[in-house]
Amino acid sequence: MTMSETWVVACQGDALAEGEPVSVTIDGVEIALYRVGDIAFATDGVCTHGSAQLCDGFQEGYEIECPLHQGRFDIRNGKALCEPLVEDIRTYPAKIENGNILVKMR
Amino acid sequence: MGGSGIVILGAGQAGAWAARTLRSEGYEGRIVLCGNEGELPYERPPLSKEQLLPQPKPMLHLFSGDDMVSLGIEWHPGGAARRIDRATHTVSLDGGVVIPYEKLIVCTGGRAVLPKVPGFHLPHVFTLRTLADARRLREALLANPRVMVVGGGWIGLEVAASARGLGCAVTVVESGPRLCGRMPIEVVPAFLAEQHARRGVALRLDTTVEGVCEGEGGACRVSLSDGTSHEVEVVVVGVGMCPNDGLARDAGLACDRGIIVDDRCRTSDPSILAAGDVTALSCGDGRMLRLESWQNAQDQGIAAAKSALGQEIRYRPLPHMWSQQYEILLQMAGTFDEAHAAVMRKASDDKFTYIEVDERGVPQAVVCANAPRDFRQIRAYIAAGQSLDRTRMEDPGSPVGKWAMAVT
Repeated sequence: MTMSETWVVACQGDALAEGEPVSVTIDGVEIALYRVGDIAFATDGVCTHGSAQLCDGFQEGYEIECPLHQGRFDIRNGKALCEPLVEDIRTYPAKIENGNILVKMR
Repeated sequence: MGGSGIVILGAGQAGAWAARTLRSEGYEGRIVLCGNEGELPYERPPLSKEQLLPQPKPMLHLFSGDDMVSLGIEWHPGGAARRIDRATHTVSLDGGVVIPYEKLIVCTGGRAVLPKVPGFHLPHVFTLRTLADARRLREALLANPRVMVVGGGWIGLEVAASARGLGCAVTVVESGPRLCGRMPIEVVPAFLAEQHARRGVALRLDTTVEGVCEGEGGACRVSLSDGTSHEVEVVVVGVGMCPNDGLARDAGLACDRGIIVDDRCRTSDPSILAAGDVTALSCGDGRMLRLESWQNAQDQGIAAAKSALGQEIRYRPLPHMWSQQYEILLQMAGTFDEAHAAVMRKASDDKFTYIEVDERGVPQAVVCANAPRDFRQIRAYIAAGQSLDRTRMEDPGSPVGKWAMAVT
């Protein structure tokens, strides 16, 4: 499995609204995409705690709350912000360009 | 032996969160965490779900060994606590280890009840409380056995769903007239009965097990109170848990099917606190709240640590629990009361929101099936004591965020 080292188009810009995270799979990895204003963010899609999808959670500004146990991460740096989380989540560089959301996989 | 600090008996979820919280709240003294399982602290919910799959993900631990070292937590796994000596402020563990405490937090949880039924000692019969139990049961499920689940409560139903998901033939035997007998409402038992029956699980209500004996070829024969008998390879007994309050009772702490604590997690001894499944929370009006939930283990563990540090906390939890069976996420919060008005919003056979409101229109309890956004909002309304507009609640088109009663 090769990981893209360049920017990959994850989805169209108008498919991603603030407060409504979107799930995509890139190179076999589940990713959650978020928007705050004109900026996009990307994290692993599955919570580090249980098996819930963060895109089904609740985004408030720069925080995403897992729907299952209400753990919250900062989408900018993946930091676990509260119980029950004990592990940060992986983030990926993301940007909006030419109307698309791009993600850089490492 | 080191100086006196805070000792935590029990290294499950409550004990682990108590230990973590002591450090995150700035406590720099000695912390000793004692557990009777050989595992690093973990959460139990995966034991009836992911951990029964043939190749489960590694168990998530609340601390790694490195975390314990970097947080300066002395870790005593794999040994039982033998005695709490309140006069000398010490606890004694297996192997003659004696540890002094300034404060003691008891988080010893509970053990699975195994009723005295003939044959329940046979190797075909499993209970499920620990990771070791889950590993044994997983092994047994690999052979595609016929499974009889005794007990139609949360553990029984989750195990039934897991076994059925693996393709096993499953029968659930429940002594009461419906599933989830501790829930005072009909909605949840009816929903779950339909979900399980639809997937081919056989349900026998108002039925108990009279005995189990060895059968042919690795099977056992289970005799039921309805006069029938069944050949199965695996019997899982999930009929409840008994709190591990023995040490506390021996030490003379006030107990009532659990260690009695107040809203600051304090026991009848000012140096001893308790949290999690082992507790009976005295509500002050004579009621005892025994919350056997993941949520309570975490939140009360955190509260007990803060209380041990002298913080002015009040732990008055809203009962909150959840269950995952098949693709269903069931979430429940609050206290159900048949005197309250009920609103049922059924989106489909697999998705509903059920709310009970009191005479002021303030919601007191909620159950959501596959509706986590509704659940989150309604739980917030309950916690805030927010009265809700009944017309909007009953209108399927009205979004849950707009239900607050307008202030006139």
